[in-house]
Amino acid sequence: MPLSKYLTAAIFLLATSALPSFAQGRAGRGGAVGATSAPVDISQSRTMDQAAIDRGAQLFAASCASCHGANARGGSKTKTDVDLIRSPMVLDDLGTGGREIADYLKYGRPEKNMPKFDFTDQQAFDIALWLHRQIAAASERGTYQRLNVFSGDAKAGEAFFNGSVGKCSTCHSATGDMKGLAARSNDDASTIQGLIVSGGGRGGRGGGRGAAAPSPTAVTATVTTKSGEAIKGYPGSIDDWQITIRLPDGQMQSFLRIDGWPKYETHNPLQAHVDLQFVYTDADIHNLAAYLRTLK
Amino acid sequence: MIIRHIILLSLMAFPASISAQGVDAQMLLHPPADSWPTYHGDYTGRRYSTLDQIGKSNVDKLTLAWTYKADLTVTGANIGGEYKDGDPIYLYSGNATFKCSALLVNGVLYATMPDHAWALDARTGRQIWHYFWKSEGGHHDGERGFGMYGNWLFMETADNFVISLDASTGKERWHKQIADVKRGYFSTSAPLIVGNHVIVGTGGDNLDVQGFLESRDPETGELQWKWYTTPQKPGDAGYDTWPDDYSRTHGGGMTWQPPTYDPELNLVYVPTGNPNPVGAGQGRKGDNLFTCSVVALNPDTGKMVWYFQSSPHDTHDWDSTQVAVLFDGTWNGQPRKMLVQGTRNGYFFVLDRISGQNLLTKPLVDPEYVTWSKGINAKGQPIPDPEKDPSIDGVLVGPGSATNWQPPSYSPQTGLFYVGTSEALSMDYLTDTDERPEGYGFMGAGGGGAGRSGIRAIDYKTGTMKWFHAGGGAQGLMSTAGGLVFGGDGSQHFIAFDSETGKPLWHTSLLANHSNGPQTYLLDGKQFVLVGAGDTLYAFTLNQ
Repeated sequence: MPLSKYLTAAIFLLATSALPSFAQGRAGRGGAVGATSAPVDISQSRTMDQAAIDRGAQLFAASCASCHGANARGGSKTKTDVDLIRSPMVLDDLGTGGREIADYLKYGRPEKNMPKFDFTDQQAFDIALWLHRQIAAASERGTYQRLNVFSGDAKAGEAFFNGSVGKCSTCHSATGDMKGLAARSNDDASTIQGLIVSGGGRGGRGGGRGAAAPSPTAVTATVTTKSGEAIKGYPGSIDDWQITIRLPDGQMQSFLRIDGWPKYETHNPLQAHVDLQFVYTDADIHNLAAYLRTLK
Repeated sequence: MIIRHIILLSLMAFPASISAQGVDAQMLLHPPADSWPTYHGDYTGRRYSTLDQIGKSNVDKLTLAWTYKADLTVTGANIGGEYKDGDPIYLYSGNATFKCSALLVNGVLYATMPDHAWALDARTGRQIWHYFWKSEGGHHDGERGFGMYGNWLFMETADNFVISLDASTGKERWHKQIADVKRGYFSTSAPLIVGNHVIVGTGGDNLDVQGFLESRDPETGELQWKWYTTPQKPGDAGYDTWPDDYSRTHGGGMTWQPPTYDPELNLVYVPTGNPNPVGAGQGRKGDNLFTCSVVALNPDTGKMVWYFQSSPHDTHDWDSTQVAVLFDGTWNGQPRKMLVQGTRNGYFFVLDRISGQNLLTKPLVDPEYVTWSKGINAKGQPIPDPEKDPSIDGVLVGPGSATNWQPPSYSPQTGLFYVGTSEALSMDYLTDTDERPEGYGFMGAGGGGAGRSGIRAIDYKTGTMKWFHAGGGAQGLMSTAGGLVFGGDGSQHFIAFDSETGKPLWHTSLLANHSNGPQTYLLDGKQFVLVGAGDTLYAFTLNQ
């Protein structure tokens, strides 16, 4: 069984063994597949020739979709119900440069009513590439797109915003800090809902490490020494034996922890968002998003 | 009588000629203190050691004996695979991490990473040999380690080969392909040796493959039996929990965690992964047996004896491959053979491991984070709330990944189950609305503040938490007769806790968070503790 030269973009020659690998097969887990000077792998969507994919899409729509469905998955509304995304023949074509599919199309499978097609080699390759693009679209979860659906009721969202359960208006104002939220969020439902749930800051424990400029909503930390001195900053790291905080000037300061000293406390200005996640329903979140979207 | 007969058969399966060296059936049934002959150290998965030389009173004298940094240089290694000179190969080095448990036999440690294996002198950490597998690809996520039979080692590869090596030389004996990397399979598990069976599973969930577990002949590598996670034909148990063959044959249920084994019952306990497509369940209505389950199989035939499904119709990637831990104890005053599992869906289960009957189901993490379920049914299973299935407009759901593959521990000394956990709510969005969704089919997005992350010590009789230590989330643990639990805190500390109270009694700083299950063994009368963190193994012993 010869090793295909096109298996992956993460291939390095043995001679370049000092280089780091981004080992990943058919990219599935959304992890970064490093850009390399390796052979092109037609299974990797980000290295695929878009013009060829577009030609393949047209060819597929014209010649194949009536039996295999517009998305090549077969299904109850198609003539054959043969799913090409999971077809062993199509999957085995991976790494052959479309040859397996091209050969298949030349002869078809008459006993199963699959006719032969007189495609040129380039056309067969384009179709193969389009099919591999569909496989990559299903398997590369790092490239998925959310569908941007606002399903909620804006009026109900406004009531929640101002009501006694959400109490959003305690801290926020439709004409103040929330003004223009739709544009700032690219009118994207998951972005707005993400802001509702998280508050948009670094919520929760620990916060961030590093030199990002502190925002008014950042979690703050106070270290109190046995002598009563209180040192304020931002959370760095904490464990049983040390505390590190970032001081307002960006310097890191660490403290040994001995017998419970110094004391450590954090304050999260966005705690209301954390608390709300156990209070509101999904409908409340959807309604709020629909309302916030109207704040131009 | 029947049980004894089965044990005898299993013992007889080992040829007499190999029992004099390496690993034999007796060693696997009763591992000597100077060995660690199988992934969990023994068949139970308890990760409890009877060694007590290192104990509460002297653990503060624990000190570094040696370190070993993974040698990833291919030059000089034994090369395996079917490739010609000049063929391109993968090179695994970017995130080299020890996720294996090293085997220890006759003073030699055998450790693995994806594509790599090493034999090390257990007294010094010095390398004896290095084996390198030329890979075709696959997700190089991790490698759980070797199984050993006689003087032969067995490991799996990311591109789904089972390899057998000669333990003395590190030279390859044979390799066999068990699944096709082009279909989206990748393998990370450690083979389990039972009798003359090399039991191997596989993983992969991005292209909707079918899960299976199979047994290979240690001598030849030939297939002995193959068990598919999803039912195969009408009349099979669970057949009607899928709408059609299309969904059954692409239904996932991967077997990427080494199983555990009860020699008296002659049952192998296999925890199975999530169904596929992962988050989009509209094309696979039903409970989707035997995904997200513990399945008891006969290791001689591959036939299923019982099952318990912890996440019916999973749509959240709950992937219940967490270790099925076996222990004997009392339940309501009666002696009982039990199985305990803390699962990624945020629940803690106690089962009778003879029958599979559920004895207890309790939240594994803080219950307010376990929002995907409506409660517990009469069989002790969580009831999924369809309102919390991923949707195109998003649902806020938890507990996130409550725990994972990292081995937990059960101590018969304390009756406590130790497990690394975390908890959070996040928005889950359905991304594939087709009647035939494919791949993961959903994605998560930002959540609010996370809850507690750290080690929990849980009383198996009630499910109540006796102690908690913050930090580290899912992590490998080990308990010992010295009254200790070894684990970490997510701040690169390796810590010995008092197993009764959770108080840290000793700690040291490693160069990374510990990344496998800690191990212990006796050598020349001295107890060692071994742990992997990133690309380095650390061995500790008492400074005397």
